Amino acid sequence: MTSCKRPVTAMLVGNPNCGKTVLFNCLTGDHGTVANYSRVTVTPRTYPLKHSGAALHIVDLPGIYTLNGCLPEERAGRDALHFGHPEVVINVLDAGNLHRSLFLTIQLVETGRPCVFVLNMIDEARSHGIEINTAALSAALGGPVIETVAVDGVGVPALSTAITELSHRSESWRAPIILYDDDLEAAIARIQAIIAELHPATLDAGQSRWLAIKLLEGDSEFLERESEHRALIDEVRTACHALEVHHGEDCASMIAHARFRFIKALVGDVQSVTSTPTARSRLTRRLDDLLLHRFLGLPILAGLMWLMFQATFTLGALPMAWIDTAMHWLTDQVAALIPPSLIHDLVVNGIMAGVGGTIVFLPNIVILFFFMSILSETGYLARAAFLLDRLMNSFGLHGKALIPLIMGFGCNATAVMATRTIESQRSRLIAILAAPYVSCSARLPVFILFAGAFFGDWAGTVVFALYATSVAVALGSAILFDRLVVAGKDEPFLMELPPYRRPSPGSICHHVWDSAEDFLRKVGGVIIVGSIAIWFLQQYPTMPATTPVAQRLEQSYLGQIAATVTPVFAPLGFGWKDSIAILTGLLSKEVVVSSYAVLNATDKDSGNLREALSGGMTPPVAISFMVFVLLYAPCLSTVAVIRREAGGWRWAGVSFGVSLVIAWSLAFITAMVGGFLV
Amino acid sequence: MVAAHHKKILSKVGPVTGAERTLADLGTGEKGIVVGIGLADDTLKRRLNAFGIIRGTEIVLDRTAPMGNPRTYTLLGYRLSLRNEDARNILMRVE
Repeated sequence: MTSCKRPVTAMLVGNPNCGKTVLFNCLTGDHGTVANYSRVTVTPRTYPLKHSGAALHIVDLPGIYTLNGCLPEERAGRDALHFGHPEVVINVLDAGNLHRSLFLTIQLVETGRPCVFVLNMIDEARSHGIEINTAALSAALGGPVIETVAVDGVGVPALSTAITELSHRSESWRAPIILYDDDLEAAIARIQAIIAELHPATLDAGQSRWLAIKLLEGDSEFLERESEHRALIDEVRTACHALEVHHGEDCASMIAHARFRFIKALVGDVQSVTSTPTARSRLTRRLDDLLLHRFLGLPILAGLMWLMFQATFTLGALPMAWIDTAMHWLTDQVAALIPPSLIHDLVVNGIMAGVGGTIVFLPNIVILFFFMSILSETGYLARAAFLLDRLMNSFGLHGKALIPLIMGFGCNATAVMATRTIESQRSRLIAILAAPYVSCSARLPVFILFAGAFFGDWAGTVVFALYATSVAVALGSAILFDRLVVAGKDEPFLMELPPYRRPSPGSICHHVWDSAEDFLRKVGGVIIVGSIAIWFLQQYPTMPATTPVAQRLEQSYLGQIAATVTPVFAPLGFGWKDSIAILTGLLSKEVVVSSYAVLNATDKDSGNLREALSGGMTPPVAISFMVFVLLYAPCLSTVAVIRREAGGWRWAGVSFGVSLVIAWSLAFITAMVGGFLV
Repeated sequence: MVAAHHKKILSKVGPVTGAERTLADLGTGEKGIVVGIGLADDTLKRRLNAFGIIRGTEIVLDRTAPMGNPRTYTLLGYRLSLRNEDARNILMRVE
C-alpha cells in the first residue's frame, strides 16, 4: 500500500517576491527567512512533509523570472527541474501580477512536468480590483489552480490536497502545448525530429519539444550538451538564421514575443480589472510620493536608519538590565552551590561570566531585527535600493549589492551568501569583499558596552556614527576592490518595486526568532568554547594563591600571548587586555565582550563591567578600539563563507589581510585625532 | 550625439517605423510602446524580455530617483526600476 511508495518530490518555483517562502513555511511548518524583497532564498532547501500517508519532499527553489540560465539562480532552478525529476511542480504566481508571472509559468508547462498553479496574494489582487477566473486558467494551463493568501494560511489545505492528488496521477500527466508562429513551429518540428532520432526512447514528445525550444532560444548550456551532435546543432543554426533573416528579429526574441502574445490572450480571457484605482493602490502611490520624493526621499531614509539604531539602544536598555540582574542572581546561586574549587572557578568566572556578558545583548539584537524585518516586509527595502542605486553605482557597487550589504547589518556571513543574487561575477566579488565592513549584529554588543561605558547620553549617537563609519568604509573599500580586481562590465539594474504590504506579525516573529536563535546558538557554542579557552589561558600555569591578581594575570599564558602582540597595538593606545579581546574576537566579534567579562571577573574589585572599562582607557582610545573592532578581520564563519562563495582561499586571504590594514590605519588616525582634540 | 546613438540602435534592430525615442527619453507619466531592443548583448536582451519588455509592451514612466537615476516604470500592471543607461537601449514609439 502507501507504505511501500517512494517519497514524492514537489518543487516550489516562482518569481522572486511572490510569497514562495511563506508558502513553503505553511506547507512544512518550517520557518525560513521571509522578506518583501527579491531573492531571499538562495539555495534549494528540502524538507519532508507528511501528508495523507505519502511522504512528500518539498524543495523551495530560489525565485526566478525565466529558465534561461542567465543568472546563477536561474541555472540552479532549471537544473533542479531538469535533473531533479520532481513529480510535481508547484508554480507560485503573484495574483496581482498575473501577466508577468505567467512568463515563467509557460516555460514550466513546456518542461512537461505536472504543475499545480498557486495564485498567491489573491487578497491583494482583489483589493486592486483584479478578479481571476480560476476554472478558465486551469483549463488553459492543464493543471489545478489554487487561490491562496500564504501569510494568513488561506488556501494551504486545498493546496496540500492538490499536490497529493497530482502526485498520484503524475505518470499520466499530459502537458498542454503552447503554439508558436507557423515558421517557428516548422523549425521546432524539424529539430524535434532530429532529437527523436538521436535520443530514441529516452525523451517523450513533450521533452523533445522542450529541448528543441531551448536550443532555438540559444540556451548556451543545452547547446554545449548537444554539441557532439553536429547535424542537430547545424540544423538549429540554419533554422535560427533563416528565421532571423525572414522576420528581422532573433529567435529568442521571437519565442519570447510569441509567449507574451499567448499570455496576453490568456490574461484577457481569465482576468477582469475594475478600471478605477482602488484605495490600496492609491495608498502605495501616496506613500511613494513621500518616501521616494526627490528631495525628501534620502533624508527620510537616513532618518529611518538613525531611528532604528537609536531605538535599538534606548528600548534595549530596560530588558538588558533585567537579564543582567537575572544572570547575576543565577551566578550567585551557582557559586553558592559549587564548593570553591577549580570547577567553581571555571563555571563561575569562565562560562557564566562569558555567557552572561554576551547574552545581555539579546534584546538589542531582537529589536534591531524587528525593525529590519518590518522594513523589508513592507517593501521599503526595495525602495531603499532604488533610492541608493545611483550612489552605490558610483562606488563600483551594483544597486543589488544594497540588499546583501543591509543584510550584513545582521550577519556578514549571510550577506556574503546573499551576493549570489548579483549576476556578474565581478560585481559580485566586489560586494563580497566589501560586505565584511558592514557592522554586523555581533559588533553591536561591543559598541553598546564601550559607548555606554564612555559616552553616557551620547551612546546612541556614537553607535550611529560607528554604523556610518562602517558604511563609509564598506563603500570606500568597494572603490579599492573595484580598482584591484580585474576589469569587467557593469551589470544592468533590473528590480521590481512591490506594492507596500502590511507586514504579517507571524513572519516578523519568525524573522526575529531566527536571529535570536542564531545569536543564542552562538552564545551556546562559540562563546562558551571561547570563554573556557580564555579562562584556561589566564588560569595557567598555576601560581601560588598568594600571588597578587594583577601579577598572576600578567604571568599566565594569556598574559604571555598578549605581551607578544601588544607592541603592535601600542601605537593605538590599547593595553594587554584589549589585545587579548581582539585576538579572541577573531572567533566571533561578540567574544570580545565575553573576553572582557572573563578578564574582569577575576578582578574582584571591579563590580560592573562598564565601570571596570571606563577606568582602563581614555574616551579617544575607546573610540579607536571600537573602530578597530568594527573593521578588523571578518569572523571565522564569514571567512569560511567568503572562501566558498568567492572560490578559494585567495579571496578569503585578501579580505582578511586588507581588513587588518584598514582597521589598524583608521584606528590609528582616530586615536591621533582624538588625542589631539581632547 | 543623440541622433548618432539612435542610428546605431536602429542599425541593430533593423528598420523600425515611428521610432523616435528611447525609454530613457520618456517624460514622467508619459506612455510609450516598445518597438525593439537595440542590444547586441543577448543576455541582457533576454533578461529584459523576462520582465515583459518586448515589442508591443506599453510602458509608462512612473518616477525618477533623487539623483536622476534609476527610474521606475509601470508595465503590465507592475513596477520595474531600470537605470537610464539600460533604458536607452529600448526603443519606443510614443503616440
